[in-house]
Formats: sequence, C-alpha cells, structure tokens
Amino acid sequence: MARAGGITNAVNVGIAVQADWENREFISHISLNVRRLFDFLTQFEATTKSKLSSLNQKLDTLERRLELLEIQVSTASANPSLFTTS
Amino acid sequence: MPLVRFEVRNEYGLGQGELYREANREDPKAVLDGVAVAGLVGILRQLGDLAEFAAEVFHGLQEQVITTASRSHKLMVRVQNIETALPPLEKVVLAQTSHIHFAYTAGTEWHPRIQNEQNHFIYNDLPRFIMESYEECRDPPRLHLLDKFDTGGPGSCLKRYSDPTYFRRVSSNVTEPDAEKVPKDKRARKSKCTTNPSDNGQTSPSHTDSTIDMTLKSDVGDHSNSFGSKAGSGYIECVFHLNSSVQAEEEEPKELSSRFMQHSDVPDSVFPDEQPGIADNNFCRTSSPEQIAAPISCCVTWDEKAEIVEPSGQHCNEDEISEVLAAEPDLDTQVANLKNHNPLSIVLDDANTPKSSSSRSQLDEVESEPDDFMDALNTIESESENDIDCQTKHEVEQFSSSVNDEVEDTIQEATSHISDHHPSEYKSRTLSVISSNEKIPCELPSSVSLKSFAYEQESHTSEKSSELDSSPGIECSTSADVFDNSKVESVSDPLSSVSVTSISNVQEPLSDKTISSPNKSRESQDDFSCVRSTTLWTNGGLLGLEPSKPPDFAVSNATSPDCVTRSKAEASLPPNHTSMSSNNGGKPGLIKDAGSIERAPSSKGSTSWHDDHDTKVEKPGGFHQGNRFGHGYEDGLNITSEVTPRNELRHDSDSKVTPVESSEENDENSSQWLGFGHRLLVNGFSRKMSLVHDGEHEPARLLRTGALEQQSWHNEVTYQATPEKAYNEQFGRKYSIDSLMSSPPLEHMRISFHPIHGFEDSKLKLKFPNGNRGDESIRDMFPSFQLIPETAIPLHNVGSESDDDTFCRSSPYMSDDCLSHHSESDSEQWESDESPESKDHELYDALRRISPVESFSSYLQPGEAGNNGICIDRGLQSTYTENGADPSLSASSLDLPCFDAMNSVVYGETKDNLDERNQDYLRDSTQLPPPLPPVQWRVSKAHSDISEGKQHAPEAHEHGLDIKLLESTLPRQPKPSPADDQKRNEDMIAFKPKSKQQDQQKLNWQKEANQSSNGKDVDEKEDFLHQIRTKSFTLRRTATAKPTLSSGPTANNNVSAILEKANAIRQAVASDDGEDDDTWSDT
Repeated sequence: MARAGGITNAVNVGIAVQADWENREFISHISLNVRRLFDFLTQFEATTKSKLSSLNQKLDTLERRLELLEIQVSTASANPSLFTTS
Repeated sequence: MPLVRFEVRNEYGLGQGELYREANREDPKAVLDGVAVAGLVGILRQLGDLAEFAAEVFHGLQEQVITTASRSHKLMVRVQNIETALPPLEKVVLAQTSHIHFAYTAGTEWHPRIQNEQNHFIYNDLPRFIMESYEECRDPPRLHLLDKFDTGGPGSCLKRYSDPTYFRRVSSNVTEPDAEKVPKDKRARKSKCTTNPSDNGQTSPSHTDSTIDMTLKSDVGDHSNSFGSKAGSGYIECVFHLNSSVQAEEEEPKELSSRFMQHSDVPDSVFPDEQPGIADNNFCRTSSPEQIAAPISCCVTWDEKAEIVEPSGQHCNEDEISEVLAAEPDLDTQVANLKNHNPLSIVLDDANTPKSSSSRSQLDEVESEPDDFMDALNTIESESENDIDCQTKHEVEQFSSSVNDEVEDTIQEATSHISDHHPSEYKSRTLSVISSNEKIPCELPSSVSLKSFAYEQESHTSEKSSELDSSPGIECSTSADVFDNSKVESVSDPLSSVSVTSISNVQEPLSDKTISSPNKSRESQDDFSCVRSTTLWTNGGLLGLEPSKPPDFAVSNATSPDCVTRSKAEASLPPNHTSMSSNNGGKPGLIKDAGSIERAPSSKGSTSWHDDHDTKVEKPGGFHQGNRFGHGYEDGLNITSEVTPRNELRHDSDSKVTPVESSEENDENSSQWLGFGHRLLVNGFSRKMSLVHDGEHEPARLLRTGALEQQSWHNEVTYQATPEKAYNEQFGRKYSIDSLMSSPPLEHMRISFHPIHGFEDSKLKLKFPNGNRGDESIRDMFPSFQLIPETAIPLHNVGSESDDDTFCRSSPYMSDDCLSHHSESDSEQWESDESPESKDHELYDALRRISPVESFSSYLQPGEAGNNGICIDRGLQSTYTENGADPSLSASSLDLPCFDAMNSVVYGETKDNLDERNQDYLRDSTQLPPPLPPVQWRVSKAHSDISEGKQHAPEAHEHGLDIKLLESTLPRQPKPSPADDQKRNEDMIAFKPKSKQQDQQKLNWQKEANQSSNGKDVDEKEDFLHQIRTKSFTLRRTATAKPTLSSGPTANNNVSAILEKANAIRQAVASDDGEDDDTWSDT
C-alpha cells in the first residue's frame, strides 16, 4: 500500500510537474508577448517622434516662409506706392 | 550599447514569493501552483507596467501631436490671411501695364532671426531637456532666513551663496573707466558740433539718449521698409562711431562707455539677450564683417565673411592711398582698449535692437566728424543704392542712341563744377569707391575701416557740396531718413567738408589727375577697380553665380573701344573666379567713368539731375557707380542701403528711364525686360533664386538683383568680345555681341532653374549648360519642357527650335524619363512629333531612343498599331528598322515568345548600327526596290507561300504589319498547323527586313541567320515528325518529291518548296542531259 501510495504520489508529483511546466510555458508566452508589446511601444514612440520631429521641421520651414510671405505681403499692402508707376 | 528605455521585470519576480513560500512543502502541487500563480500575478503586473508605459508614451505623443497640430493650424490661419491679403495685391499688380519699376523697388528689409541669435538661453522656447533641468533644479537654500543675522541687509546671505548679478556688476565695473572717458569725448564732440550748424533740428548734437530713441522710433515708424537697412547702418555707425571717437580723442571712450551705460540702463530683459563675447568681438573689431552683417541680415553674414578674407589683402594695396591716416596704430590700440574695457557696454549697445542703433546713428551723424564718417557709410551705402538705380537708368539710357544735349551740358557743367570746386573731393570719391568696397568686408583693424569711412565721408561731403553747388533745389532736410539726414548734415556742415579736405589734401595728387583729364580720372578709377578686383567679390561664388553685378555697359563697351580694351585688360587678369567677379565689379566703374566723364552723354545725369536725390548720386557719376558695383553688391547682402528714399529715387528713375526706353532701342530694352520677366518667373517658382545674392528675400530685391545680373551679363559679353574668354566658369559667355540684348546669361537661368524644379529639372539643367546659345525663349521653354515631359509638344518645339546640342543632350533624358509616359500616350501624338524629327537627323537620333517607346506603345495598343503603320511615313519605319519592332510585334501578337527572345537578341546586336541605318533609310525614304533575298531565303523560302508573303510583305510593313492581314495572306495554306503559323511568322519576319532598304541588309542577315537557322531546325524536326506521322517514309530518290506533295496536305511548306525546287532542277538537268532520273536520283 505504501508502495502504491508512493507510486501514486510520484504520479501526482509528475502530473503536478507537468502541469507546472505547462503553466510556466503559458506564463512565458504571455510574458514574451508582453515584452513584445513593450518593444512595440518603444519602437512606435521612436518612429512617431521621429516623424513628428520631421514634421515639425517642415513646419518650421513653412513658418519661416510664411513669415517672409507675410512680411512681403504686408510691405506690399502697406506701400501701395510700390505699384504706382510714376 | 542601446539605451534602456524601459526595463520589464521578470514575471516571477513581480509576483510575491509568499504565494508559494507559504504553501505546504509536502504538497508539491500546491507549491507549483503557487509558483504558477506568482507568475500569473507577475504577468498582470507586467501588463500594468505596460499600461503605464503606453500611457506615458501616448501622452507624450499626444502632446507633441497637439503642438504640431496647433502649429499647423496656425500656419493654416496665416496662410488664409495671406490668401485674403493677396487678391487686392494681385489686382494691383495685374493692373500694372509695365512691371519694370518693380526692379527698382527697394523691397522688404526683413531680418527674422536677429532676436533669436541674442536670446538663446533666456527664451521660453528652450529645448525641453534644458527647460526640464531648469524646472527640476531645486531652489537655493532658504538663506534669506539668515538675513536678519547679516549686516548686509535682506538678500545678502543669499548673495553670499549665489549672486546672479555678479557678472553684471563686474562687467559694469569694467566699463566704468571707459565710461569716464566717454563723457569727455562727448564734450569734445559737442564742442565740434557747436561749430557745425545743424540744418536738421532733428539731429542736433544735443540729443540725449531719449531723444535718440525718439528719433529712432520716428524713423522706424516712417521707414518701416528700411528698418533693417537702417539698423544695419546704425549698427555700423555705432561701431565706427566708437572708432571715430577714439580717433578724435582718447578721452572719447569714456563718453562712449557712458552712452553704452545709458543703454545698459535698458531693462534687464535686454541685457541677458546679448551675447557678450561675440558682440564684444564684433564691436571691438569694427571692421569685422559679422558686425556689419549681423544686424543687416543674418543669412548673409557668412558670405560676407568669405568675402572679407580678400579685402584684407586689399587694404595693403590701399595703404598707399590711406597713408593719410597715420594714426592707425593708435586707433588700433585704442580699439583694443575699448575691447578690453567696454565689452559689456558694447554688448549692451549691440543688445539694443537695431532701432536704437539706427537712432543713435542719426544722432551720431550730427554730432561730429567721426560721426560724419559713420554717416558717410550710410550715405555711401545709400549712394550705392542710388547708384544702382542710376546705373540701371544709365544702362537704359545708354541703350538709347539719342543723347540729350541738355543733359550732357548739365552733366558737363556739373563735372566741371565739381572738378573746379572739389577736385580733392573727386579724388576722395574715387577713394570712397574703394573704401566703400573695403568697408564691409574689412576685417582689418578699425583703422582701415576708419580710413574707408573717412574716404567715404569725404566723398559724401564732396558730393553734397557739389550738390549744393549744382543743384540748389535740394530739399533733403525734410526727409527724416537717416540717409537724407546724413547728407543734409554733411552738406550743411562746413566742418565736415573741411575735414574732408584735410584728408583729401593728402591725396590731391591723384585728385589732380582726375581734374586734369577725365580720362585720367577714369584710369585712376580703373586702377582702383583693379585694386578692388580682389575686394569686390561679393557672394564668394557660393551659389555659383557671380555676385558682382556690374552694370550692363555692354553697349557702352561695344561703342567705346576704351571700355573694350579695359575689359580686355581685366580679362587678362588671372581667370580666377574671384578675380572675375572683381573684374566685373571693376569694369562698371571704368565704363561708367567712360560714360559719364568722357562722353558725358549719360542721359541719366540729365534725368536725375533734376531730381534732388538723384543728383547726389549721379554727379559723382562713374565714381559712385563704380562704388556701387563693388559696394552695392557686397551690400546686396547687407541691404543696408535700401532705404525708403531709395524707393522714391527709383520711382523717379523709372519715370526718367521710361522715356529713354521709348527711344530707339526698345528692342534691347524689351529683351532686358524679358530678362527681368524671366527672373520674375523664376522667382515666382522659387525663392532660391534670391539666394544668389540676398540669401533669399524680397522679390523686389530679386528683381533688382536680376537687373544687376543682366548687367553682369552684359559685362560678360564684353568679356567675350575680348579674345580672352578662358573663363570656364561661365558657360553662357558665348553669346555673341549681337545677341547681347537678347537674354540674360544662361548660367543664371540654369542656376535659377535648378532649385526651382527639383530633381527632374536638375537633370536637364545639368545638360543645358552648353546649350546656352539658344534664344531666351527657348531657354524659357525648358522649364515647361521639363515640367510637362508627357506632352510631346514641348519636345517638338525644342527639337525644331533649339540647338541640336541642347536637344541631343536633353533628349536622352527625355526618352528615359518619358518611357513610362509614352508607353501610355497616344501614338498619334508621337506621329505628329515624329514628322519634324525625321527632318533633323540629330533630332532623330534623340528620338531614336524614344522610338522604342513608340513601338512599345503600339505594342501595348495593337489596335492602334495599324494606324501607326499606315500613317507613319518614315518615323515608324525607322522605328521598325531600329527595333526590329515588327518581328517583335508580330511575334508577340502571335504569342511566339521564343521568337521574341530571338528578336531581342537581334535587336541588341544591331542596336548600335541602327542610327546609321535609320538615317540612311530616311534619306532613301523613297521606296527602293526590295533587296534580293539572302541566300538562305532563296534556298529555304522558295515556297509559293513565301512568294505571297513577299507580295504582302511590303503592305504588311506599311500597314504596321497587321497580324490579321498577314493571316489573311496565309490562309491559302490548306491546313495551317501551329507549326506552320510559327513558320509563317518567321517568314514574315524575314520578309519585313527584305522589303526594307538595302542598308538594313546586315540586320536582315543577322536576323535571317538566326531565323533561318532556327527555321531550318524547326523545319527538319517538323519534317521528320510529319513524315513519321504520315508514315510516308520517302527513302526513295526522286519519288520523294511527289509523294510528299501528294501526301502532304499537311506537308510542310518549306519542305515542299525544297522538293519543288529539286524537281525543277532535276527536270532541267533531265532536259539537258536527257538522261533518266534514276542516274541522278540513285547517286
């Protein structure tokens, strides 16, 4: 009986270990995917910020040009004499 | 080593150990379950961390996106505002009958980055990582609690710990000794000024700083356009005022410092804005370009720096002239002292917005001689601008053959008058030309700059005096401009004239020369121009353009041999690019002298002579014009000279110029205007054009620069007139003198195009440079040509009108670029294009590469292929011949890929020879008798079907080898098998080259060789197969012919043809010999 009990105990332990392995595998999978999510987030942030920075640079250029245009337009509009041919 | 952005902890580490530690050790399952649960808990925590991290990330992104969106929204609003503001301007502009006057408008003075350069570390828009450091830093300890124990009073303890005002106090202490000196200087200055009657109440020497500021504001308000220029001038003036004050008296620095101290009283916000070190250096080195350029335009400063290097050497040359200023070392030392002692004060001065500087400049102008020197700078700058205007006028006027006698008289009088009364002044002007050139670029110690300014001052005073003499009606006093003020003051100031004389007296020998003969004066200026040649280089060739834009005196050059010789002499100078520019810059001065002094025909003088403002500039005539070229272009960057009065002057000049234009040479003028217009267009496309001179900015300025460029172009033409054309830099110099007026130089246009159209255009641009010979209109065609490569019309135009070289160069790119486009385009369009192309062989060569595209298009559109073949005269035929497109077409249509491959091979082999053949073919476009078929054909294609094929081959060829037609010719064959079809196709392919000219026999031979070999193999194989199928083994001798024929409704055509021929031969032999067939057949 004791032997049988030992066998059953061993069997139970084996089952438990197997289940533990399965659980660990499951957990590792989830953890891996979580890490992948982190990685994705970091990459996403980096790429997005880079794109935003490029966009901001373009906006800078546009702002400069617009500023120039505004000055030109304001100058032209403020000085109608420019268009009056003497 | 990557940076750790976020560390994800282990899931089991996240889960608390109690989950499994507390489990029953005896129960392994419980323990394991506990561990598993701990892992799951850890995963949950990881997910929580992930959520936090994601929230952080997206929050940051959201902020940035919001800021970007807000910026874009602001941009949209601004754009909408501009859109709303534009229509009236457009109406006004479109209402203009002539846009010429735009070339003379001063444009906008705009310096967007002035403040930014001074406020890097105090603005709120600091980079975030810096702001974070500011925000995160802790406040100083609460040492104020200990103030009650300190005798120093409140805040003393904290000061012991950290005193932010330390540096300010130290710097102020440093400036104190200087401040002591400055008042003395100011006193001396005032004493001088008392002697000087100031016509302008505005510029009385008794101005305090507040008054200065007031004047400043008033000026700014009056002349918003000239703000930047004023600022620059004022800035320069301040700088030189420093020097001048030093020169005048050693005590002056004190006063200067006091002035600066007054400025330092300006609110603290101004103070931190300043860059002490840089500003100090700038100020101490009055001649440093940065100093001058910084207020003017930040963009330009670099160029000026580049330019400055040369002038330094220049000064050595001019030391001879500048011997007068013996106090140079003293000045230098004093300047150094100022540098050492007054950094902060200078900084403060620098920190002042250009307004303040300009205001002070006005004040300074009034105050004393050195101030007058500074005024001279302004005046010279303004004069240079005026000279530009006048010069443009002068150009136009020179174009006009009719010279106004009255004008001549007036000019002569003026010149004589000037020479009589102000010989030394004349010389001083000549010097001022040089000095003005030197002025900006000079890095040398302030002494040199002082020299230059002194010269300028002299010239200015002399001019003014001359003006007073000649034109009594001057009313400069009313104008509040710095320019006008300075002039008026100088005019009114006898002292200034006296001082000028004092300086000019030293130089009188030269002035005597000038007085003695205008020619000599001209030569002397030539010499100066030669000296300037090193200095005048303005843009430094950054953008490839020639910065110096000498006036277009090409006409005058052409008319005056002296000028030509002068240009030659200049051309003889080393072909160095800088020397080129300098030569260009020097030339105008020479030419102008020739025009103004020798000829005295300059109608400009007449027109401007009546004008108060213009007279000032124009009297000096060539001298100032020469100044203008060197100085004006250098100042093109500086922009300082462009003041509102200039606008007025320009309007005047326009009005004056127009009648002159109406005179005889309207064509030339029109051509110039075309040049202007073209430049306007170019500018419209992109502002980068403006980078050439101004670094970017106003279109008006661009116009002006464009005009100047035209002038330079004319000068270039003059260079061409000279035998020495070895200027490799300038591609477009090859214009003949006849075409002087036609258009501006191409290289300018080329450069202008380059930024405009972007990448696609750049290709053509690179190809254009040698195509400069084309007319302007053609050149104008190119952009459109590039922009719309799909439309073949520009191609047609270009091909018909432009030079072969240009087209040939451009064409390959076209073909390359257009491959995709043309594959989809209509064949008719190409047909229409081809007709002119076939006329010109070179053009045809150009199209040669396009022709495959055509064939390809027809290939894609088999329905149109017939049309192509019918309609096309020579073009498509040539294409066929070239490409072997017929076989490819037919084969492809018949789904014979193997043959396509063969064709491709053939095409590849014969591709090189296609041009010659095509040309020959075009020449022999009249249908020649079809060439004799090659031997292979004779042997292998004696079949009746082949004969039919021959008959139809020309048709097929003419009709674009319509496959159906070919098939219609083929149905006679009783039972065409797929093998037969293939064979026929091959035959047709072979026929087509036959029907073509003899020139293509080589190609045919090659094709046929391939085809015939191929066909023979196929025939043999098929023959055997057929025999095997039909089981008609013709092992017997002569009977083979008939059995095959009889058996062969399915017999192969070639085999039957061979057999027929064999029979014919046999019969012939039999008829001759009368012998049995057996003997023959048995053998």
